[in-house]
Amino acid sequence: SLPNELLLLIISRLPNAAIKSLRLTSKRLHGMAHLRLNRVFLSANPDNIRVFRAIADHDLHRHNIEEIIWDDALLQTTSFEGLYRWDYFHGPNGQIIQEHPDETCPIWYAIACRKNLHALRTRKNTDADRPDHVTRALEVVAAQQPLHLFWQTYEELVEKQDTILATNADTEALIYGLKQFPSLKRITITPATHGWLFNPLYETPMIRDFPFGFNYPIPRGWPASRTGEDGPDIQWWNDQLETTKDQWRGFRTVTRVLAQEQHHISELILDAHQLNTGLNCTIFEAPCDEYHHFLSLLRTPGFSRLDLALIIRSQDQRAWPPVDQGLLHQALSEATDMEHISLATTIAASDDLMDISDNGMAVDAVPLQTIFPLDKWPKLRHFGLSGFPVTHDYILSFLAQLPPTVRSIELSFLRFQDNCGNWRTLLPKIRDRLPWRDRGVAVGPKLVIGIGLEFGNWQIGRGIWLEEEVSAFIYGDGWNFFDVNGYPRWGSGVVRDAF
Amino acid sequence: MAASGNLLTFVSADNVHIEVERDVAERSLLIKNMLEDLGEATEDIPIPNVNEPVLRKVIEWCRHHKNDPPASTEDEDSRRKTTDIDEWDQKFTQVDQEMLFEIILAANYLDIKGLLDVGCKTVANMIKGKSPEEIRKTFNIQNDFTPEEEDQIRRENEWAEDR
Repeated sequence: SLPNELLLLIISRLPNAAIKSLRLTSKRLHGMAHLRLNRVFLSANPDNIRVFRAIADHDLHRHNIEEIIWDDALLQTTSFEGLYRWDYFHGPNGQIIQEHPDETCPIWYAIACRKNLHALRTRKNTDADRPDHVTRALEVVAAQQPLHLFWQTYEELVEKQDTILATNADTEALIYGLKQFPSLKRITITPATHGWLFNPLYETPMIRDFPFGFNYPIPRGWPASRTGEDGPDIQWWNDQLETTKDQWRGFRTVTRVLAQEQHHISELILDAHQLNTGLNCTIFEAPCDEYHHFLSLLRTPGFSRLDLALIIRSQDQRAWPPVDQGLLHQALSEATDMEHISLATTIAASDDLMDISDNGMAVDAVPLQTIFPLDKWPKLRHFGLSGFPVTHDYILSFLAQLPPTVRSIELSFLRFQDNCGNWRTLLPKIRDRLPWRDRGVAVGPKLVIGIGLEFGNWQIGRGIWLEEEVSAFIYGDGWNFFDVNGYPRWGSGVVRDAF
Repeated sequence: MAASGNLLTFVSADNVHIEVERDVAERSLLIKNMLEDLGEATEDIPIPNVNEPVLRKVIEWCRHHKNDPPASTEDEDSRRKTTDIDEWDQKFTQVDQEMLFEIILAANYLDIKGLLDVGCKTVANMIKGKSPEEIRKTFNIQNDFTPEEEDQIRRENEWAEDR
């Protein structure tokens, strides 16, 4: 009995799950309750490709698609085996705790599933219960089925994946999408799609189709380390076999296709999502096909957003490759319409974390201007930097040179060089030496700071985020909430899980 | 009865006179703008689309919320957090469906954004988590689809995430 404009107001408050039900009630509501559909997923999976193509062929929906998300995490087959065997059979003191219980599935699969359930418990830790935790608890119960049932499903998924890889049907779909989605402007490539067990980052058609309680080795695609493991290692790009390079198949495919096809992509997001991973940084050490394709995209007129994640090489003590050769700076200089830039690396934020995130490599801080060509970016609105070695002087001189168009800055998990101080001593310098305070909170940039949890509680994907406190300190009368160690005092900031 | 001092008189659709304080009445942007245009209201104010019980409920809400700060502009994500209704408003909206819809219509007519939000959130919460059949039963909706049409919609539904 409500008029259409009020029904639309109610529908605008519903998630897609409820809209789906509403569309099935009557013709009138079906005509009004439109699916919220502005992004599509691609990967080497037939369900993802089928849905992608169906939307690309739909006269209404295809016009609303603004983003393609490429799930760059291929399902693994046997590579986990060596890594997990010891953990599975032995407890913390080396005692044998369990024999392989189910001979109908490979041991590496059983180990990975067991680790998933362990991670599920430890990641939640003391978090307050939310409704999704209840659902997840039910899934955990369902996950206790004999593993060979899950293994069968997994084998079928891998088989389907192999078929796609053999035919490049995902690449063909991408090319088709570029033609069919007139509003498309962004491509996101991520190894984090599958998130954690029962808690994916994106519910792709493939993931939505999993049987309830499906336990499987969570794929990451790009080389990545998990909490408590050694950091990801990489070798020089131009020496690698194609099969090794194809760990970044999504990145290679997307940048190659964009270099060859007509498109209007203005935003590329490589989203490691705080996982300890990224692109092989040696792509920027010497010219290669991938570098040239990347460069070609950045040269596109109107290209305005880049989120980059890099694994830093750990073989030697040289300045890290992207800086050494200047290729990254050169590529970034081409994007003269840049409005949003973000760079994350696998460099650990503190000595405590070095061994578990970057193989103990010390990387020297460099002036940020050697990477970011600020003089080429007069329209810049956002700057983000994560997992990066810095000194106070380098940071201050860089922030001082940011164009006045910048509205937001995110600095997270920074590694302060020895003896240069920490956030406690840097924050007053930002307030007193930069002209932000004079501009006022309405005009000056908003600074967000991210800090890793303390060593004992450190977990991939979790951190303390400070925003209001920073603003109050820089623009108002707020106090310096960092302690002498540069750690936020109790009660400051918000702990967030990226998943 | 005409308005006197700080009191205004509303006249409902069923011709009932209800006195209301000016600051309470001004939660309605329609009334607020009208009073600003008129300067001083000396006459009764007819509310032709709203009957007495509904008008009294609306005034009850406005009285409780008369000191609320102006509503901020919500982004899309926070708009979808439909369960976020404060306790008093939750009790306030525990009325039968007909009354709830009448309150929403009145809030829309009188331009009371906060009340309209609460009403829409309440209806949205009545929809969330229900199957199509349960929604039909709740709102007395007739299913006019053929099985083929239903199948087609189910297929399309699979294309979208649940978020």
